[in-house]
Parts: sequence; structure tokens; C-alpha cells
Amino acid sequence: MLKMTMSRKEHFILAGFLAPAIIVYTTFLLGPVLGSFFYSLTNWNGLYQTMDFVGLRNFVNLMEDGVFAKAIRNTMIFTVFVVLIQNAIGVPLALAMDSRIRSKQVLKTLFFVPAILSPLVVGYTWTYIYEPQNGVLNTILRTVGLTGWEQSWLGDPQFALYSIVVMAVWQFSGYSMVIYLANLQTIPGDLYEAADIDGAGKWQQFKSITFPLLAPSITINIVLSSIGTLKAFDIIYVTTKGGPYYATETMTTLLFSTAFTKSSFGYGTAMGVVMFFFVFIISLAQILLLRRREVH
Amino acid sequence: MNRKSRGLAGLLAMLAMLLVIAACSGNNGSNGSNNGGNQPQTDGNDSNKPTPAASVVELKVTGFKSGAELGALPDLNEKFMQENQDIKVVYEGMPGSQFKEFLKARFSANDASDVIMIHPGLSDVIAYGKAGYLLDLSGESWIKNFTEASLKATSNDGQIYAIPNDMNVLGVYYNKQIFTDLSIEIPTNWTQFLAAAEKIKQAGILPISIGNNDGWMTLAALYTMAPGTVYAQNPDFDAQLNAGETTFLEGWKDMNAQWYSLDEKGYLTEKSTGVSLDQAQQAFATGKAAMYIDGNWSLPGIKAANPELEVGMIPMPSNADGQPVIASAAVGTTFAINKNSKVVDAAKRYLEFWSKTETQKEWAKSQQAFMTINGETGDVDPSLQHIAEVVASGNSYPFLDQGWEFGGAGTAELMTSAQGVYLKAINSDEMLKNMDKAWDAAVKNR
Repeated sequence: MLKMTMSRKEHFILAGFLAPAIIVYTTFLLGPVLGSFFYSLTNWNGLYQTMDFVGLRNFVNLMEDGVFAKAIRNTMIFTVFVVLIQNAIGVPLALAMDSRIRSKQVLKTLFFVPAILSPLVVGYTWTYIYEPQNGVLNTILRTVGLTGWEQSWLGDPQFALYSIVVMAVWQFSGYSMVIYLANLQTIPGDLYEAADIDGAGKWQQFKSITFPLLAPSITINIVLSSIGTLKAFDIIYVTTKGGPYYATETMTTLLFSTAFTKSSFGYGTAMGVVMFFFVFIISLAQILLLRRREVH
Repeated sequence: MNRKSRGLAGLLAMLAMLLVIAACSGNNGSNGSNNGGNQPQTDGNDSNKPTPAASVVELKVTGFKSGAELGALPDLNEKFMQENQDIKVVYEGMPGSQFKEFLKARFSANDASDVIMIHPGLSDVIAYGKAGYLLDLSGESWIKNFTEASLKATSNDGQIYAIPNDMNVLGVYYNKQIFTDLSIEIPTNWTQFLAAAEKIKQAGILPISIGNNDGWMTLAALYTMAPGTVYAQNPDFDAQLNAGETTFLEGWKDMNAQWYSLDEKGYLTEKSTGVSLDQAQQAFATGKAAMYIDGNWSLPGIKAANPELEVGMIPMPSNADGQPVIASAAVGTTFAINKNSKVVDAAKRYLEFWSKTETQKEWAKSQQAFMTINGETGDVDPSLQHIAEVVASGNSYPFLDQGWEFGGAGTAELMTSAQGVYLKAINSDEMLKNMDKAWDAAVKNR
């Protein structure tokens, strides 16, 4: 009996600790999210206090909207490239930082620093790097004689999206590295010793020990970077605002300009709802697939 | 999880905390600088005379002027607080490009400031007025200080929603030295303009510097092109557009093609979609280009970049031979009072202060703008003398979106599709069709 009340008391205390987070989460996140489901069924313009209920018209219009299709395509390209490259760079970086490089403490910090910068800072910095006339990148190309390679990196639709991919990868590879690094340090050293004794080479060891045992961090890294890039907004908004002529328009930038600039809040919110399910389904699929190959 | 990785997780958590703290303190820092010099003054009041300090009301003012564009605003706020010790003005400013979105969010969250600087026109200040967010000022005695023409940009159906602070012009800046060297007269029609551009190009100088990384400069260019062409032929184009009786494709077809012919002839900056306004301005200020299309507010920036530059501004001569040149001129900033403000009285006193000639004179001077007070011309910079005379002669037309009911949709699509034409992804007519489509979509959400 006494034990029961104790545990009930404990429950109350635990609930007390959880309450602030849950209250904040519901009012500022869950509430608006549910609210947006409602607004997506209206023609609210974001300004007037009145609106009409239009049923699924916004969603029907979305299906015929060529720009939205382009935005989905760009979002997918952006996500696939960033996630793959970011993780392909993150793993070797982590391996290097786990080895006996003397300057690894300094390097670790250096690689991680971009991740704590605001995307606005990163965006503005890179616009100077990419600037066609006096930008660092074109100046370097000019100096080494590769004038033919000079481009208007953010102003040419052929390159703009990939230029932003490079920015995102630069910013977050260090972040992936830290997570891989944490995982690497959980792999017991005796496995490698045993492998050494059995005569396995470095590559063999990576393939058969390191990579399989990195599975948990691969899952978390891929899911995190996918969600992060699917909903990336600021880094694109400060560099190209989705331009030139929709070349870097993603779901988020289109959603923003539709709702706020073009005063179609209802339609913009419908894009948000579609995006919500998009992100939800993709991350769910990733978790289910990647979990399966984790070693338990 | 072993101990090592837990340590790392802890480190990450601490980093996250650090970021949050840094972000918070960053905010405080910027608030502090926004308050400017008024902070110590009220503190002094607090310690010396506790009773009057208690009755000091805080007046929140939001505007799209910040940084170098602030001009005389901080000084004028200071002066107002000197004259009205019981009011403390807190100004919050942000760059113009994000302001419209910001304001919309604040109004719909019922969290707008007491006094708000709003863009003039049908889809901005008048739209907010019609939506019931702004106080009608038509009954105030000081509203009569402003010219009737300028009040048009802030009124609707006999209600006045804001005071018009300053007049701005959009036009063609030109490098006087280059024009003299090549013995080019100021062009007064399109034929002469093309001839001038050709002459400049032949001399190996870029005729017109433009940056279209966001398309805004083409918007500005079309605003200067249309008065002498579209609106000279059909002054009711905006009204017809709002009523759904005409389209951009019908009304703008020739004018838009006229503008893009400049690009085809090689008179504009190459690959301009990768160039920003700052870079384009820089190219003009350093003499790499002979002309540059922008507003009078850019004059201080141009002069700062190159104090030696001899610069003048003319209205865009888009008109046919024998037709008058028409300048693009409009009210720049307006101050409105939030209807739900709890300090309406203080807000009215603030606007009354802004309705005084000497306040407006100082403000207009700091913005290189023209005045909106009856019978006042203010001190116009000599570089703007020519275009000021054209405006004063009555040959001017407001910035186009001010007359559009769906200005946001129209201008946003204009800027995006304008890039498409430079990139040859679409042609000039398709750009106008896109604008009509965006307009129709906005009409549906009315």
C-alpha cells in the first residue's frame, strides 16, 4: 500500500517535470500544426479576419500547380545530394578524428563550428564567396587560369541549387561527424585486436566491424539530415529566395512566398500540410528500413 | 551508451545551451541599440523623480527603415521625447525586403506596434485600413498640413489611414562625366535613349548597370517605363485591372518588350540574375557603367561609394517622340496608428509631431526625398534637381503597385518571372501571362 502511494507520488513528480515541456510543445507546436490543417481548407488571405471554407480546392489546385511540382523536385534533389554527401564526408572525418592525429582536438572544433553558425551567417558569407565578379571562388579560378570555369554560381539556374547543396554540406558535415565519432567510441577495441590477429586489413576491418557497428548513428544521421534538408528554408531564402526563376524553389520557400508575399495563406498552408506528410512518411520509412540493419 | 559518448552528449547539450544563451543575449543587445540614447534618460527620471516616471507610457513604433536608412529617425525620436517627457518611444526597425511579411504576421497575431510605418497604396496601408486594423485620422487638425496628392496614397472613401511622410522618385541615374565625354544630351524620348545607349556601348562602357538576383531592379525599371507608355495611353489601366477588365498581357505587352529589347541589344549587365543591387550600384558608382535605375534613396550610397562621381537623375524617357516624359514619383513612408493600441493618445501626439514642417524637413533631407507638406519644397540635392522639376511640373505617376488591389501577388510574380526572361526560360509575353495568373489566384482568395 505504502509502496503504491510512493510510486504514485513518483508519477506525480515525473509528470510535474514533464508538464512544462508538454504545455509549451502543445501550445506552440502541436496547436498551430493542427490549426494549419484547418486553414488549408480555407481561402484565408492572411490579412482579413474573415475567410471562406473551400473544402479540398487548395489541394486539387496543388496537383495542377507546375511550380509546386518543380519545388518538390528541387526539394528531393537537394535532400538526396545533401544527405548522401554530408554522410559520405561525415564518416571519414569521424574516422580521422578517432585516429591518433595530434591536432584532432582543434580540428574537431573547426569542423563542428559551421554547424553552430546561423544559416543566415552561412548564407551571407557564401554569397560573397560565390559573387561572380569579385567573389573568392571565381577569383581563385581566374588566378589559376581556369577562366572558363567561372560561373555566376547562384545566378545561373544550372548551378544555383548545387551551389546551395555545397553550402549545406559544408555547414553540417561536422555535425554528422560528431555523431559518428560518438558511435565510434562505443565500438570495443578488442574487436579490432581480434581482427588484427586474424590478419584482417584496415579496409576489411572497416567493412566488417566499423561500418556494421556504425548502424545506429547512420540511422540517426540520415534521419536527422533528411528532416533538416527537407525543411531547409533560411539558407535558401538568404541566398536566392528560390530564384533565379524557380531554380532553387523548394517546398518551404514556395510555401513562404505563397502565404506571405502573394497573400494566399490558405493555399500556402495546404502546401505545408502536404510537406508535413512528405517529411513524416520519408522519415518513417527511413527509420523502419535502417533500424532493420542495426546490430542488436 | 558508454561513459565516453555520454560525455560527448553532455558536451553537445552544453553547446546547445550556450547557443540559446548567446541568441538571447544577442537579442538584448539589439534591443538596447534600438532604444538608442533614450535609455539613460528615462533611467535618470526613475531615480530622481519616481512619481512622473510611473506615468511614462511606452510608445512602440515599427518601421522598414534600419541601419544606414534610418536617417534622422533616431534624432527625431529623441527630439519628440524631449518635448514629451511622459512618452518613451521604442523604435523597432528592419530591412524593407522582409517588412511586408513581418507586418502581416504581427497584425494577424494581434501583436502590431502602436505606430507603424507602412508602405503606401491600395494593397498595403489602404488594405490594412480597409481590414479594420488602422485608426481613421481624417478628423485630426494636423492632417491638413499634407498635400492632397500625397494623402491620396493613404486614403480611401474619405478615411485617412496614415500620414504620408515623404515623396520618392524612381529614375535613371547617369554619370555626367561619361555623358559629357561622349557629348550625349539628356534623352527626352525612347529613340534618343536608345541612341545614347548605343553610343555608350560603342565606347566600351556598359550602358545600364542592373542586378537581378531578386528581380527587384527590373520591377523598379518597369515602374519607370510604364508611366510614359502604358499610363500615358490609358490612365485607367489600374482601375481596369482591379475590376478584372484588362490584363497585364493586354496593357503591358509593348512596354515589356520595349524594356527587354535593351537586354537583347546588350545594353544591360550580362547574366544579371547573379548580380545583386549592391554590386550593380557599385559598378555604376565606380564609372564602369553609365546609367543605373533606382530610387532617390540610393543617392547617399552612391556618393559614399565614390564621392568624386558627378551624378544626376532623369526620368526614364520611355515615351514616343513628341510625347512628354513622365517621372515615377510616390509617397515613400507613411505612419499609421494601430486601432487596437492602448496608447492612442500618445500615438496621435507622435503623428502630430511628424506633421510639423520642421520634422518633415529634417526627415526628407535625411532620406534625400521630397516633401509632402503644403507649400514646402525642402532642400533637394542638386543631383535630383532635374527630376524634381519634372515632378513639380505635374508630369508624374505613382509607383505602379500602389494602385493595385493585389500588389503583393503582382509584384512577387513580376520579380520572379522577370528573371525567367533574362534566363531565356520564358519570353516577355509569358512573363505577363504568369503575372495575370498570379493575379487571378489572388482574386480568388479575396
